[in-house]
Amino acid sequence: MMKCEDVRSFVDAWEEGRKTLGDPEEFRAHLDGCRECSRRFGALLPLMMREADLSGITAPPEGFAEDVMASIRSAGARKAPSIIFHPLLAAAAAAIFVVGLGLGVFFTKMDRENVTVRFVLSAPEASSVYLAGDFNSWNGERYQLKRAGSDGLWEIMVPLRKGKVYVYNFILDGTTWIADPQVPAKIDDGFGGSGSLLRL
Amino acid sequence: MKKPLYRKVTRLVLALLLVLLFPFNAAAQDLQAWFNKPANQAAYGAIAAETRILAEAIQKASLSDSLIAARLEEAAKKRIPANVLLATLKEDTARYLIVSDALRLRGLQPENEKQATAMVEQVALLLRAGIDRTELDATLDAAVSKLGMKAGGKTAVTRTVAALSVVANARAAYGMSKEESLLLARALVESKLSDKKLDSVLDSIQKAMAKGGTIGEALDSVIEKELNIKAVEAKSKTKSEENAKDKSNQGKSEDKDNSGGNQGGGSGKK
Repeated sequence: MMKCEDVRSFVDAWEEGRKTLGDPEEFRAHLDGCRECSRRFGALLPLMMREADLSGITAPPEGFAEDVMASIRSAGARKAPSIIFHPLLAAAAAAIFVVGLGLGVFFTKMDRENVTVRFVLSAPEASSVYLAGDFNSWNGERYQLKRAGSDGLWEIMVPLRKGKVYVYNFILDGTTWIADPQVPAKIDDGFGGSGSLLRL
Repeated sequence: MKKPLYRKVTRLVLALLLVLLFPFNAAAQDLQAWFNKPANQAAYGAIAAETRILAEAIQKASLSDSLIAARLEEAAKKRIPANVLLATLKEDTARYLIVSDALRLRGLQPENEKQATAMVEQVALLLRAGIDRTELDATLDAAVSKLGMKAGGKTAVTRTVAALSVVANARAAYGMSKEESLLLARALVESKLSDKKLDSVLDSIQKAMAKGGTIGEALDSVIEKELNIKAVEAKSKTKSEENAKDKSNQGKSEDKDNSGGNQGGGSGKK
């Protein structure tokens, strides 16, 4: 049976992406009986269970690749729809091309210093997820992630300046600050937790 | 008809004054203003005096106390107790001074306070990610040797940050030894890949590891094939630099012992 200290080590190991995690079921059993740990780490449970499920995925059945390739070949064999040429259509295409070229140059110039970063977190049981980092003075209420589809993914697009190193956290349900499980390098925040390193 | 024009001019002048004065006030009173907010005063007022002493130490290194203000803000948002925050601020300050020292020794710290502060903040993040002083020194030296003092040395520091952030990620993912970290850092600095593309090396290491073998073998393969540097040469350079560093440190400690001088600063440990 896990104790509260074991749970902390378990969560640390999971955040650092170490493989020697132990049994997530034991983690779940402890949370069921411990209100404090449940409050602190409850939101992480579905993430761990999901990872545990994914790790059980096995190789596809024999002949799977051949079936897929056969489907692709038959789809490719279908006749492509024909485009009817019309002078007006050509003029419209040329106009769109010129306008698009202008806009492209405009946005390329704008983007020389900035890049839009997509932050994604899998947290099916979380009721809210925010992003906070040194790029927004650790404001935990400004960048709210939105659900992306129905499989528990949350995402947000944030414009950031290129050529810098950033540190950030996700905040689950307004209370639990976690590092990004997808990023190996963790930054010790000096307060008992960790953040994730992002270089652009 | 005259009254609206008068009002317009007054508003314009006030707006202009506001624009001109605001940046000055914001820069000069970062820390003071932060502690003056009622919520911050209540939670962290007890450590205000000691925090100001740390801020003064930072200012003596020609850096802005905004470094401290940023960490205060992070702690407040994370609801960190005052005593924990103060202990962390002391570690942070030591780290900022270590980085400043490393940059100044090589003439890399900009004279402009704002630029110097931004640079030190970036490099200090890498120390918090597990990079130590030896690795920082070796990578800075390699970057200066490769790129010289282009843009006042900014190019070399940017290259160092890019290389060491890859090293921090690779070490966290694969548990590299210090020697391997130094080898990778040097190879990254010397490679022809642009700063932006250095991250692609992480994918290459992952692919090499997937084929089986140790991280050492994966590194050798990536350094030779992706970075086009002979791993043996890189290793011998790293070794000879480490030896030179050891000798130099021995010399320094002997000097210190002889003179009883006080260098201050940190040990380079995290």
